[in-house]
Amino acid sequence: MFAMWNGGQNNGGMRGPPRPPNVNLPSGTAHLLYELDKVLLFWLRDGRTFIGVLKSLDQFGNVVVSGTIERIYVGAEFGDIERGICILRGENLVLVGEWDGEKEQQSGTQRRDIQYILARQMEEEEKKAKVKEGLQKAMRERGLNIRDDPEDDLFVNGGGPFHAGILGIRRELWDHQT
Amino acid sequence: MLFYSFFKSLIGKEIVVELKNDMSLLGTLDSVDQYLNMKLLNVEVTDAEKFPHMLAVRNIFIRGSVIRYVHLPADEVDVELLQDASRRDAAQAKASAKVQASQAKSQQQKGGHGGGGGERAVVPAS
Repeated sequence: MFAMWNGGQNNGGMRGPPRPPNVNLPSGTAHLLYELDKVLLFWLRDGRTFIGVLKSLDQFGNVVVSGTIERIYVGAEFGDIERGICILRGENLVLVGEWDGEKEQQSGTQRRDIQYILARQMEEEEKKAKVKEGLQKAMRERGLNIRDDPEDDLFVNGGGPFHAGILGIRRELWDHQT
Repeated sequence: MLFYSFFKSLIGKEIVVELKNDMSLLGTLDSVDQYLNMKLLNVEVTDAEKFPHMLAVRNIFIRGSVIRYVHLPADEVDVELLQDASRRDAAQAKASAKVQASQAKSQQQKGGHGGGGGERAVVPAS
């Protein structure tokens, strides 16, 4: 159960350590109130990953995240894009994880330049799309059809039109900056 | 609310949550809410190379709507108890439906005797 809460009231004028919010819920109830003012990882349904400080949330699971970065992983390498303050609509969240710096250092993932990561990501997506296309062609030849459903309420597992849209934007960004 | 209560009884146990994007997470159930959102502690991801961003988190909150399956420890599940609870719910639903039906019937009868007012009042042929 989410409860309405305003992050700004937590430490009264942003000075001093944040006080824990006054939560009046039975123990064992899942909520994000104790995660306020902590660095969290937000994994979205379209596969994107945002990392930032949780500032506010409501009963729908909508969240306000400050100092956000979008982290793009390609294999064990990653790159960051700064996104500032974000409001994430609750329905798009898959998972919220407590950021563990220690665990990250042990994980063996490596930061790379964002341009490099974007290029690598594009390669990967194109490779995936090619595989999918081949599969679809083979299926069609056998009289079967894979339904590529963009309005699905589940996940867009890459290669869908929405994902292609993101890819297009990234490609523009990349072309623009290089 | 049956499954909410059921999951609450599993708090502290190790479960595997499988998400709709085929990721499986093994962790200790810390808390659960009415939407079956769940918090897991000390999470391990099976097939971790496919999900590199999970390498830097230990405790997570999962939105209930993205869960496909929950694998439970078999000895912690009392099927008899769950079945009984469902039967009780069914019996209760049946009883309340009966009460409602009889109330509706008595109201209808009252309306019929009152006569005249409603458009649907039955007028005996003379």
